[in-house]
Amino acid sequence: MAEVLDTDILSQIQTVLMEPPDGGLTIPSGLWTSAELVNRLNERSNRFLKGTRILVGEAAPIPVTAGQSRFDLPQDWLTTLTVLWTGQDGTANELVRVDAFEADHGYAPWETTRSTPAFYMDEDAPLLSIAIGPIPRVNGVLTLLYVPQGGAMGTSGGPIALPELYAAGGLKYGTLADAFGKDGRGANPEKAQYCEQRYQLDMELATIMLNGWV
Amino acid sequence: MPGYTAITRLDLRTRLTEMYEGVPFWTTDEANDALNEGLRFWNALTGRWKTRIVIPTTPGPTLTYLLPAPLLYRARVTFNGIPMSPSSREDLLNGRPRWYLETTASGQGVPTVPTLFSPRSLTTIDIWPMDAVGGNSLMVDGVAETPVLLLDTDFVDLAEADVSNLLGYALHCVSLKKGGPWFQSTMGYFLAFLKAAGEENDLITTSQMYRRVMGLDNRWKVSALPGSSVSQLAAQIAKQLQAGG
Repeated sequence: MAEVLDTDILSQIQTVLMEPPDGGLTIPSGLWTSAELVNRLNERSNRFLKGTRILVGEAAPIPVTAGQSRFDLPQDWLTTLTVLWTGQDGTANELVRVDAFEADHGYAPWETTRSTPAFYMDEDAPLLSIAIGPIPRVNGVLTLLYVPQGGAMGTSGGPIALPELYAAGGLKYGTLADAFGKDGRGANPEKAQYCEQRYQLDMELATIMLNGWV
Repeated sequence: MPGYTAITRLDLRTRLTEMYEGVPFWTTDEANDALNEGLRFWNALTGRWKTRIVIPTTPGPTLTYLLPAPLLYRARVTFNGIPMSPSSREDLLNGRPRWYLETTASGQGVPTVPTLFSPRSLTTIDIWPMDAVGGNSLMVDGVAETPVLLLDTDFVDLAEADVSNLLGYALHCVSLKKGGPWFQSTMGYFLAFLKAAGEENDLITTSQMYRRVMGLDNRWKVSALPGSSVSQLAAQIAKQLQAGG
C-alpha cells in the first residue's frame, strides 16, 4: 500500500494553484511561498486533529505528590480529553474539566484543603500545564489522554500527519482554502469558500465516523 | 453487464478523458491523483473496503490495543469468537469509574471475559475488562486502507455505477484549478458522488455540512457569497437531483 507523503499533497496543492508540482519546493509565481504553504499544511493538520480527535495520545503516567496541584503537559499537547486520578489510598476517578470560576465557587478551599482530586483545569493554568483540585491528600498518579500535535510535515517526503483517508479533505483542501483566501493577487474567494467547505465536510465526516462507531 | 467489474487505472483514465470534449486540461499525473483521491474519499464516506484483523491479547494486562489498519465506524470486535458490545470512554467512566483498572480476574461482578470495547481513537480500542491471562484473540472487522492505483495495470473492483461516480468526482477534482464555468459545470458530479455515498451510508447524511452542500439545508444559500454562481448552481443541481429521486 502506497504511503501518502507530504510532498504528494504539496504537489497536488501546487497543481491547483497553477504552479509546477515539485513537492512544494518552489512557487515560481511568487503569489505564495514554499514555507507559507508548508506552515498552512501543518496548521490545518493540527486543527483537523484537534477538531476531530481521531488520534489520541496517552502521556506517560504523571506522578503526583500529596499536596501538589500543578503538573506539566506534554510538549505536543493540543487539547485534553480525559484525566484520571489513581491514588495510593485506592481511590480512582475521572477528573471533571472546570474553569477557575467554577472551582472557586464550587469548592472554595480547593487549593488549601487536601482531599481526593475531583477536577482539573488546563485553560486557567499556565500554558502547557494542568492544575488539579482539591489538592491530593495522598500520593498518586494522573493518567492523561490528549490530542497530540501531528508530526511536522515539510518538503522532504515525510509521512503525512493524518490518516490517508483524510489526506485530501484535511490537508489539501484546508491548505488551498488558506492559499486562495490570502489577501493578495492569488486570492480567489469562490475557490477559497469551496475548499473551506470541503475541509469542514471532511472534519464533520471524520467526527461522525468515530462517534458512529459506538 | 456484470454488477462489479475489475477496472484498471488506464481504463479509468481513458474514460475520464472521454468525459471531456476537447484536449484534456489535466496531466496524466493529475488524473491519477484525482482518481486515487476519489477512491480514498469514497472509502472515507462509505467504508467500502473491509478487512479482518486478529490481534492476540497480551498479559500485563493491557487496556489499549493498536489496530494495524485504519478502522472506521461500525467495526465488529469479537473475543475468542464471542461478539463484544461497543461502548465509549465516557459511558464507561460514568457507569463504572474504575473500569480502566479492572481485569478478568478482578471478581466483584466483573466479567471473566472481555465484553465491551471502546474506540479510543481511529486506530486504537480499549477493552473491558482487560484480559488478565493474555494469549487470547481479538478479531476486528473494519474498514481497510483504500486500494490506491499506482500503475496503469493496477485495478480496483467497482460497481458500474460507482465507476461513473468516481469518474465524475475525478473530473470535478481536476477542474478546480481551472475554476470558472468549467468547475461549475462539474459540481453536479460532486453532488451525485455525495448522494451515492449517502445512499450507501446514511450515517453521513446526519452531517450538517453534508446537508448544506447537498442543498438540504437552507443555510447553505444564506452563507454563500453574494452572487456566488457556484453555490447557486450547486443548490439548483441538488434540487434537481432530489426531484429526480
